[in-house]
Amino acid sequence: MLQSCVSDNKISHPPLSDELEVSIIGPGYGEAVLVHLGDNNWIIIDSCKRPDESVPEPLRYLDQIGVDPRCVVAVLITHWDDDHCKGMSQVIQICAHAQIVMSSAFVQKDFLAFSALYGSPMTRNVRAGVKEIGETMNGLGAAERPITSAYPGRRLFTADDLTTSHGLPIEVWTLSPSDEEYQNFLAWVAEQMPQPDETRRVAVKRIRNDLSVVVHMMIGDDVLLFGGDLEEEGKPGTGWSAIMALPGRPLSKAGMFKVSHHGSANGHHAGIPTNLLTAAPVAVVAPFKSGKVSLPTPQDVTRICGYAGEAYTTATLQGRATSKHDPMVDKTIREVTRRFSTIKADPGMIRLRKKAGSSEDWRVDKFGTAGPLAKIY
Amino acid sequence: MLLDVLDRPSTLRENLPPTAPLGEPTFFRPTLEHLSEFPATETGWCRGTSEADGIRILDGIAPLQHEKFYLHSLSSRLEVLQSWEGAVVAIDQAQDTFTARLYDLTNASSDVSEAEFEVRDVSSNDIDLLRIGGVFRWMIGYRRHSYGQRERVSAIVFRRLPAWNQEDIQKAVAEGERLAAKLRIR
Repeated sequence: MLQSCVSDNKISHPPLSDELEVSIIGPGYGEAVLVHLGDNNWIIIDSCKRPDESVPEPLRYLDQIGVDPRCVVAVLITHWDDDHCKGMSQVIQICAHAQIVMSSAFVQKDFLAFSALYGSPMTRNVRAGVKEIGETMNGLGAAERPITSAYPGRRLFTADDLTTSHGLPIEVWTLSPSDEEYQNFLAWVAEQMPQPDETRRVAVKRIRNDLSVVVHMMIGDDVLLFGGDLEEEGKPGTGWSAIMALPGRPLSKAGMFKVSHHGSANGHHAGIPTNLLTAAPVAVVAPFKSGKVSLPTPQDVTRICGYAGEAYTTATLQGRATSKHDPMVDKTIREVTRRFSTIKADPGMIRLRKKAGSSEDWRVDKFGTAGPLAKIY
Repeated sequence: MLLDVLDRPSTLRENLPPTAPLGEPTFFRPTLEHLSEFPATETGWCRGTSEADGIRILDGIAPLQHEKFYLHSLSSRLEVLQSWEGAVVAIDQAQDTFTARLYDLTNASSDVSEAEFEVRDVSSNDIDLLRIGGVFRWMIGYRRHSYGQRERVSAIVFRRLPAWNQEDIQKAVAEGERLAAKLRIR
């Protein structure tokens, strides 16, 4: 159970009907976002699950605040990495009325064949994102639920689609993946198809997050930007460069930014603070901790805190999981491995709320190990 | 957990099924053929070796010269203290290391771990299975010999998963086409 760090803010209190909410859950490995647009209209972006929990974090949170999952109007899958889609098949099944948004690369027969081939059970324990996305696609196919394709400059909701009592116009846009990212991904999928007589292996995620969907939301004057795991490689047709150059994209600058790719330098583009964000936005990072990779790095923290008015992290990167092994096992681990670390799932959440249409600042609730980004280490 | 070591000639290994067992692992004690390849040292031909049959011997006591004559008839047991199932996620050829994600088989509720191993810790029999996506089991425990010696061992055993065949691939392609036809995009 997540515990509030602020004594007078209980996690179980749902937002008022005229309150906006952005909740970013990041157990340290994985992330999910919930947005309340008003009048119990919710959007979920990605899903994650803790190792000891059967219920995905977004559904667990909705249950904690007493919201019926049928109030979710859209579920977005930014990409298929394990840390962003764990539990997604459950989320989609339970959120029965939600519009499902993802890159159309996932419905291409080549990807579905890849998913079918690598999704066949080979081992009880080793899991890859391909299994989850495979189950998700199978569930969507069985239920014959339509899929909304995410592509640059796609407007998902307009003012007429969602009417709320606060009366503010709502627009939701996807800004990626670019055509080049889409083609890169499918080319990679084709390379993964094995030849006959090749020894089986488990699917390993694509190194670059080609398909990551960036979401831009406007609720009246409040603008939110969710960077997913989009990375920048300095090419005009991919990453943030492609978004900067996108004709017809919404030009309003975001006052709230879910920092892309766990705050890494790869996820940053110099144009983000100047072109896409307001002068002092609220930035939230969902950190990533796996093996030798810990994101954001101290340099990343300095950079993000430099452009953000307020910067938060959904979990700390302090400490390591306590060893539960026999001392002789720990001794052997030290002798045999160059490096050994346990991915500690620190449950944490940053919740931002404010009255829709007001000029007030976001109220920030911190749960679990969430806190100021400057104190992440 | 005590596991009986199969006391059979190493030639039987060639008759093993092509896939690694899904249940408890099968262990072989060091074989004469491999040990005899190790260079002799002043204090004994086994001292200083770190691997035999995929099992890294950490606290081995230098055996007597004539021990190799006993090995065939002696049995041993492996007491597994800890085991993981691993999947290779990266191989660093410059450093001769590989990184794997580890799933705890001893305590299923444990969090996932990640470790970097040296390639030389992989048995020469398994080296062709070391590639991204390769699956292995890593065990740490004690090997207790019937003559009283106890060794601390660390064993990385790659699973020899069956190969994909033409039929598997065609079925997956057909499944992809079937599902693609069912999914509606807008």
